[in-house]
Amino acid sequence: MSSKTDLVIKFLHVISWIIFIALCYQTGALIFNYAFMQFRVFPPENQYLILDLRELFTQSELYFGILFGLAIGVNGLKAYTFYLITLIFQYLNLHKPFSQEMSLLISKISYYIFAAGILGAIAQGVSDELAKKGFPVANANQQWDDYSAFLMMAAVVFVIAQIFKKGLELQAENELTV
Amino acid sequence: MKKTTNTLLWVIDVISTLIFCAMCATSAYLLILFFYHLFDSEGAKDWMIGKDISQLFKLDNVHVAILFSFTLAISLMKAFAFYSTIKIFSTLNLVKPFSPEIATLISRISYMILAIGILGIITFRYSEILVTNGMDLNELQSRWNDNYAYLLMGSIIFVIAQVFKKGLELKAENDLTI
Repeated sequence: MSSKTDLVIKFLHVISWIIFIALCYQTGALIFNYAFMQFRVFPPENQYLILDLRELFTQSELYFGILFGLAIGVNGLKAYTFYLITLIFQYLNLHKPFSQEMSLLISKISYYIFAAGILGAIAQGVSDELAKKGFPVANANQQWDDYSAFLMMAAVVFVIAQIFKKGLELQAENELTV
Repeated sequence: MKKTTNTLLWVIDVISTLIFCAMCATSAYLLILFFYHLFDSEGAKDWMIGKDISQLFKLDNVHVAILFSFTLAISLMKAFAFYSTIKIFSTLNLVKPFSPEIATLISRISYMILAIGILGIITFRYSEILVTNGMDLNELQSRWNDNYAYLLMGSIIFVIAQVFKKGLELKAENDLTI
C-alpha cells in the first residue's frame, strides 16, 4: 500500500515538473514572439509564431501589446501554479504530514488558479470588445477560452484548502486536550 | 482565527451548493433543449450561449444523440464533482479532521475532473471528425474546447489527494510508534 503511494507520488512529481516546464516554455515563447514583433528583429514571415497576431500588429500596436500582455499573464500564472505544485512535493514532511506550510501552499495555489481564471475572463472580455470593433483577434481566443474551467477548479481547490486549514486547527486543539 | 475559518467554511458551503444547483440546472436545461428541438428543429437556438444550433439537428439522428449524450454526461459529471465537494463539508469530522473518508472524497473529485477532461477531448475529436466530413459545427465546438484545462486541474487535485493519502499513512505509522 505505502510503496504504491510512494511510486504514484514520484510519478506525479515528474509529471508536474514536465507540465511546469511546458508552461514556462509557452510563456517564454510568447514573450519572445512579442519582443521580436514589437522591435522588428526579424521579418514576421520568417518566425515561428505561437500566437499569430500579425494582422492586428499592422492595424494597432497598442491592442497588439495589450493582447500579448494578457496572454503572457495568463500563461505565467498557470506556470507559477505548477511551480507551487512542485513545491508541495518538497514540503511533504515525513514527520508532520499535515503541516502549516502545506495548508498555506494549497491556499496559495487556489488563489493563483483563481487569478488565472479572472485574468482569462478579463482577456476574453477585452478580445470580445476588440472583435466587435472589427479587429482580427480570433487567433488569440484559444489562449484563454478555458477560463471558466479555471474558475470552477479554483472553487474546488479553495474548498480543499479550507478543509486543510480547519483540520489543522482542530488537530492543534485535540493535541492540547490530550 | 477560528471564528473566521468557521464563517468562511459556511460561506464556501453555500457557494458550492449554489454552483452545484447551477450545474444541475444546466443539465436539466440541456435535456429540455434537446427534447424541445427534437421534433421542431426549425431555427433551433441555444438560448444560454445565444447561438444558432439548428445545424446540429440537420445531422444524422445517431450523431445528434451521441454528441448530445456526451455533452449531457460532461455537465452531469461537473455536477457530481461539486456534489462531492459539498459532501466534504458534511463528512468533516470534528474529532479526527484528517480522516480516510475525506481522502477518498478528494480522490473521487480528482477522478471525476480527469474524466470530464478525457470525455471532453473525445467529444471534441468526434465533432472534428464530423466537421471533416463536411458538417458545419464551428459554433458548437466552443462548448467542448476547455478540456485541457480540466485535465490540468484534475492533475492538481490528484496531487493534493495523493498528499492527503500519504499524510494519512505517515500519521498512522507515527501513531503506531508512539
